Amino acid sequence: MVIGILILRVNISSAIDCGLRAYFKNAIHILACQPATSTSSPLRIEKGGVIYSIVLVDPANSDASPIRIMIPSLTSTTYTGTGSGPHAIAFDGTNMWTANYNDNSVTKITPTGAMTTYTGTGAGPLAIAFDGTNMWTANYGGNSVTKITPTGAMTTYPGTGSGPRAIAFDGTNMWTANVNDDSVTKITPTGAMTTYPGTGVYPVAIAFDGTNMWTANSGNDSVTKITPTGAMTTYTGTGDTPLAIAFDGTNMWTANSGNNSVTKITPTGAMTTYPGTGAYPEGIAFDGTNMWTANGNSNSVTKITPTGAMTTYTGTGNAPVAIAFDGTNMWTANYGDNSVTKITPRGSIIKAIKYYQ
Amino acid sequence: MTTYPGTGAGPIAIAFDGTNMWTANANSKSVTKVVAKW
Repeated sequence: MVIGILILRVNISSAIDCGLRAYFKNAIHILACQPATSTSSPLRIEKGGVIYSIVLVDPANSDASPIRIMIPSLTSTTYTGTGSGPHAIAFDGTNMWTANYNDNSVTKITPTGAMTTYTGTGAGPLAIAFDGTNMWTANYGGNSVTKITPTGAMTTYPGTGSGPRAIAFDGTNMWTANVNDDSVTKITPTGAMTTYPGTGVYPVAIAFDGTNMWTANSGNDSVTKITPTGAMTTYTGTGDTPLAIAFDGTNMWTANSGNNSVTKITPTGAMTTYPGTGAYPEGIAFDGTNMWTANGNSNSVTKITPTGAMTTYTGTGNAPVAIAFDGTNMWTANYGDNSVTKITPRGSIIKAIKYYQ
Repeated sequence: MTTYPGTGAGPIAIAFDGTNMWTANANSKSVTKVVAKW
């Protein structure tokens, strides 16, 4: 889509034809002029010692311009027919997979939207993660995990802690965070399980730091670090009700829904809580430099620098509950009005090219 | 910010496939792919 062409053609006198100008400090500055009768362009580019004229066109005939700035438009396509209540989504390198809470199934969706739903996970799959080959669901209602091969063959392993609500991969094993008995469960590739009790209260989210697993414990404002052998250390003192956790390459960060803050936790558990996010931060993601929260009750996102400086950008769709990074932009999924919002790195739309006449 | 309406009902999770964003829509048995189109 052509959105604009940096072209101006205006006569400021009978003798001079100014083809390009800039508006700066409340004044118009002439950048390129020529005699009115000339047919060559005042806008030129030198390349390799050769001067090229750039043809100026009437804004009413913008398609004739050789200068165009292209930006992509966006379209969305909704593919219906997953299992009931898809609550989580993960990518296997080719296909997307959803965990469908209401009918104990997963759905594989190809890049063109073709769907295959595989029924028979454990009860209430609420989270999903990829191990490099297979998908795994954490089945909240059945205290189990289910391994699903690329062709949909399922094996359900019962015996996790109670209420596995989140799942993460450590490079070898899957780990679930079990909210109803304050534990984590390590599951080997063949389904052997070890449950380690003693996390903080209600571990609702889990993330991996490259060595250890960490849970965000919404019930007592803490995080728990779990070593590969299950040794736990719980650090209290996050902000109120941490619902999400993410890793920045060095530190863990929680999004604290109860008091609109984030907490940075160093590898040794030192905490710094930064207040001032939008209301009810419930999702968190890292852009390679900054953390971003999705603020479910204020239709906003907040960017947090490594030192805790915050900028909140309002205007997302209604009730942004989840957030993800595409390598350039942040995106929120807005539960309340069935939309997504793209946030550019500066938190605003890049819109600088217009016609002037 | 740019908000794009029209996902399925109740987008509750979001993931990136390397090119497009996808949402899981909890209330409509659907997913939505958001595609950049030139």
